[in-house]
Amino acid sequence: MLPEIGHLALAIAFSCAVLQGLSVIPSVRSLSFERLGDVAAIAQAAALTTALLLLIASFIQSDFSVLLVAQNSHSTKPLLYKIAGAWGNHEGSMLLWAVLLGFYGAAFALINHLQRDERQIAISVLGVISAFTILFLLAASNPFIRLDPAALDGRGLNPLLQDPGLAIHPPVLYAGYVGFAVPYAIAVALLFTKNFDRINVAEMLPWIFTPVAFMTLGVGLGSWWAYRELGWGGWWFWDPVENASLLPLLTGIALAHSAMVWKNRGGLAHWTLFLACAAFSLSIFGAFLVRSGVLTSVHSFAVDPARGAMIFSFFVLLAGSGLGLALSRMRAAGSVWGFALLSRETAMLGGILLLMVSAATILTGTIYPIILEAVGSAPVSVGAPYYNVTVTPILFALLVVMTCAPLIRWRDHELKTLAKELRAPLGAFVGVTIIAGLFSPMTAFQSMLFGVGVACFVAAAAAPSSGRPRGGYQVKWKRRDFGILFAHGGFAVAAIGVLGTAFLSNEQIVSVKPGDQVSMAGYALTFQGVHRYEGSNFTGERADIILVKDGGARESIITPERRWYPAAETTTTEAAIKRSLWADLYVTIGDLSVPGATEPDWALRLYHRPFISWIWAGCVIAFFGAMVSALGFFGAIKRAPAPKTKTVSGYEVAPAK
Amino acid sequence: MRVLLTIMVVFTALQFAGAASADPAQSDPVQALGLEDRARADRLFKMVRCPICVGHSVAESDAEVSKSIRHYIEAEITGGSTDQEILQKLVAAYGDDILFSPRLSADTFFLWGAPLFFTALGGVILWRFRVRASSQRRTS
Repeated sequence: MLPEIGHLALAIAFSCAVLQGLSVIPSVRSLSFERLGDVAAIAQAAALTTALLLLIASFIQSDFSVLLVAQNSHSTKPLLYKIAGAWGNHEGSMLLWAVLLGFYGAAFALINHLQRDERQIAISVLGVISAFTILFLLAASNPFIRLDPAALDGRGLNPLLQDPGLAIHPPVLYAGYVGFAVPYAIAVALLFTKNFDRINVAEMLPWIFTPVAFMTLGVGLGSWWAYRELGWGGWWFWDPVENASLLPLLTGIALAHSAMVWKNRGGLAHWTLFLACAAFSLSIFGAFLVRSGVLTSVHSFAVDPARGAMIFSFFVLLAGSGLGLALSRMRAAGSVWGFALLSRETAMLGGILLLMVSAATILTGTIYPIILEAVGSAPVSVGAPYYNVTVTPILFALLVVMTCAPLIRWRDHELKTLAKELRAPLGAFVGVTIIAGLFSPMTAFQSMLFGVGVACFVAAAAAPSSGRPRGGYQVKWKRRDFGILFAHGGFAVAAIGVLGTAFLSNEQIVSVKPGDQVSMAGYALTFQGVHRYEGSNFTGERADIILVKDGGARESIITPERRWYPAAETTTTEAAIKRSLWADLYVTIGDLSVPGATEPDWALRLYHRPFISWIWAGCVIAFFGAMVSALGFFGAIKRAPAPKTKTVSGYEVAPAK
Repeated sequence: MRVLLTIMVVFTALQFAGAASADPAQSDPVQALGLEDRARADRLFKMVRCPICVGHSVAESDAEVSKSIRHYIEAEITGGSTDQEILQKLVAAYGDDILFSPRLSADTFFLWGAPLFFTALGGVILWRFRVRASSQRRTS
């Protein structure tokens, strides 16, 4: 019964979305009332939430008469993974996507002070986007299809996905992906009405910073999951799906900064609107890459060309109308703003350029193999070595630009003042480079890069204190300073983590018998042997390793494992990680098959990963930074006076301050 | 084909060596390489794609074919081949897409040029901002 109600709820949500999409048409509006679209948006969100809750209920009850549950769940699965399993598959994750889109639509309907025409167009655009998503659910990925006769038990969830990281990674990441729908809708509305008035940017800002924050956290969570669960001691693989998430993230960050230039200086209005269209188009493009099967990866769900064709047509519609509209209005949006060569504007433009170049390069690398295959050339693979050469240097340059930019004032800035402000970061650079060069295994060049990373952190931390007209330091911080401090400081912390891990890591593979001792990265490890045990839905082989720090007496035990999941016929590696602020010791086991030996020896893979926790710590800090900014911008909308009823049909050139 | 055969021969030989030797540490080529060669091998592992898994290098994959490629690379290093020679042989056996970092050719010209091309494009757009901004200042 529950799945049928869920199915009905989806159908109701679809009708609401269609009504919301049509609400912009004057005759529809005159038939009912002005806020029809807003009410439809809220009703749609409620209906979608009901559908998702009912799907989760089917998973909790292990109702194997529902096809999706039978394919992806199992009666012995722990409760957390029964719930999270609801979105650990294509259909369920699309439903989660639609629910979050509904939430954003409802929230936007409640919190905005746009003028009437713009608001109604934006609401209607969101309705069209929702309608397409729900249509896709109903037509090509219905999660509520019944199975007759019901299965005796389910096939189980991919064991790799049975991890707390999975429970939160998709919701957080999707809150990023779909969030870009709101700036897209506002941008289309402003482009359509040719309203490039500067006051409108305040309406966009919170809807830009919120998805950027969630996207940052979501990408960080994904990387953390990969590190713990995949058992290679790596944290980023330049997997096509990881790339698909970087595209809207990088574009979204560029959009956020372009919008800040518009807000503060009145320039870049058309660029902001263009980037808003690009960010959401790339979100959908990412969904297409992941779900169509043109690229295969760990993340790919069941592959179906028909689904791919549907998402691709939707992408073409969105990108075509949004970007087409933005490009056709480029000239109309010309604005007047002057700035000197050394100014915040230059730094922001440089940062936006670097972000867009890295996004464009990642896009090229990701789709290049598909294009070559399509034109019939010899196939190529584009992987980590390509991106490390092309994208990593751009992101490093970005780090320097972004951490220095807040030190520089708008309009113009004196070189002398900047030099004064850069004294602390330069000092940090020299100090760290010398210390790292002398006392660590880093080469001179690596020490310098690491020094730059630390200097950027110092620059980011110093930024809120600078900015007085004559240089020097101010003590009183404003709320928005915290946003910049955390967002940029977090990025710098992550960069220190990335550099430290890249330059200082080492690893070894050893074969051991019970009683053997190995030393690694200042620890003595004593291998005690392996024993088997039965888990709730798997058979495990757990090694006990006694860990003693060199020169210390305190013993701790770490237990790397290998698990066999019979329901899914899969083996997973559960790494044991000894964490500390400065370095992780990451241990996995596997058997070293030596034919003929009576008792197999065990292979221990030991990875020493200095600074690796800093990467995720940085993501969390940056998330808070972007959220502080987003909440501040929401507050600004609430405090702003209600919009005038007068509609602006033409456009106004924003005056230079 | 010859390389594939070599890989199979090397792999089988290693298995026999393992069976014959009482101490597995001796038979495991992981231990046999010097520190510098070890680093070289690890670097090469990360440049070679696992032929049957998706998106992983042979360094990260536990598939049998990845193991044999790892052993092949280690054996080639011990045999004195240069990095280029080893990669060349792997390309000859498995095709261009065995490498994660495609070779520069007419086909991959735009791929490798992408960062420069996009920077140039962006630079031109930025330059137009500058010109407009400064000419505006002059007139005002």
